[in-house]
Amino acid sequence: MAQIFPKWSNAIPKIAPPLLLLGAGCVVFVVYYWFSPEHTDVGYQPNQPVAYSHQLHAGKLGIDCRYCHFGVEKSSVAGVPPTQICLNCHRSVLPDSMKLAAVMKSWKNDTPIPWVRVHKLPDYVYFDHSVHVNVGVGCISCHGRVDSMEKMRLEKPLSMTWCLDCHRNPAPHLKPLDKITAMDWIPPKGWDLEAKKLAANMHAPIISCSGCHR
Amino acid sequence: MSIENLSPVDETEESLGGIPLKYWRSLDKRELSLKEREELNSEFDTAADPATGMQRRNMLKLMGASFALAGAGVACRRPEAKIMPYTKQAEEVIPGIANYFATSMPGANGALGLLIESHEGRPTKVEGNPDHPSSLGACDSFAQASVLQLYDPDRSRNPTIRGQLAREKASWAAWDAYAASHFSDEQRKDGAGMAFLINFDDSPTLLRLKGELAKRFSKAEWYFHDPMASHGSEKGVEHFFWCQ
Repeated sequence: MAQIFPKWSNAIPKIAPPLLLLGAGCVVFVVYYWFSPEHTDVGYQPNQPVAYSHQLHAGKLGIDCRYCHFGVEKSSVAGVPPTQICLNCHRSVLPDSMKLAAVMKSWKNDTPIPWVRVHKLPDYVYFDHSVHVNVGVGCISCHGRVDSMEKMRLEKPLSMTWCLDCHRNPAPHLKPLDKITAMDWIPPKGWDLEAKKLAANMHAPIISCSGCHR
Repeated sequence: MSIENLSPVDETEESLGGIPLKYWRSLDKRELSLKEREELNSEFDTAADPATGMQRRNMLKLMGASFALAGAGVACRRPEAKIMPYTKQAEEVIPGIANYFATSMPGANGALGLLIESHEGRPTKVEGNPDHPSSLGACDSFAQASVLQLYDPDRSRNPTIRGQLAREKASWAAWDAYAASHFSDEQRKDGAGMAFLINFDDSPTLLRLKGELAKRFSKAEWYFHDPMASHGSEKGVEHFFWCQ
């Protein structure tokens, strides 16, 4: 009777396990690396209903973040400014510009501007802006160089491990409270020691599950 | 053929001593004429829904296909979320921080001083007002539950008009037109034959309105209805202790 399997098939049991292991390892790596928010979320830069430029307003004109996002020091949400805030200046600055047509329409019709959300945490995560801002975590730590963004872009992964990295070791992200919104602040000499002291003295960041998943 | 094998509307020609036996499930079924009985029996013979003419299997196929397509369409992209800020922001509202305002809830036994927690204009929690002399920070279960009334889907949102079969939605303009003619007619009669049905209520606003209405419709009658009022128990206590 003829052989059903050729001779080389004897090698299959020897080659298959390492190949399978390698394949499984590849799958794990691909999912771990490319399915993480660092690759799926960072760089999200949707079109907004108004071509608002943070680069111009926050960077070139130097308007403080808190002028528009006025809830940030008091509330859990920083807040997207009401149309009224835009009109504070644009009532007299370029009121007839075509770029501002949607803002003027919103003001006239009393309808909100439907901004597209860029920074989104899942509903099962509790996050409070005021707590972070009031202990010295600056805007830049989570939002990046907003003052150089023509169009708002998601800069950090906002993933759990990313949160925990800072909660476990907050010192490198601390700033003096009067420089919270300063995007171009460069730590002076000896600040790292100062920050470590601050981190040691403040209420330790929560790293238990129920701290954020409450 | 035993009784167990009969379908609910089936009948048998089995006879008992020459008299044909007929089984029925209810008296209504027995009253049905023979023709209607045939219709009832034929209801389950075909799988088609007479209303749409659609076969059950086709229905399932379509449902499966639409679910699969819906899944394929949205799975790849993060759903776009919108942020709707105010256009003109109320001065005391900061999104994310609750506002508290004092109010009172009128009831049969007087008003209850309350403190309401409100998130961006949406009340979420009712508690007693600690500064109010009648509640001192406490409140009853009716006050606690009253916040749910706001979000009750059955809460009326518009006037209704009596239609052919049921109540129909009407606009406020339609109500104004109706009220203008209806109540001027009533006023000519000084409100004779007219009655108001209201809650027991100590609200000064309601008393003032009642006074104004009583002036215009002097012959109108007033009736009170309040299922939660405790006047019955007060009468009972009086009776029990021989107060009168």
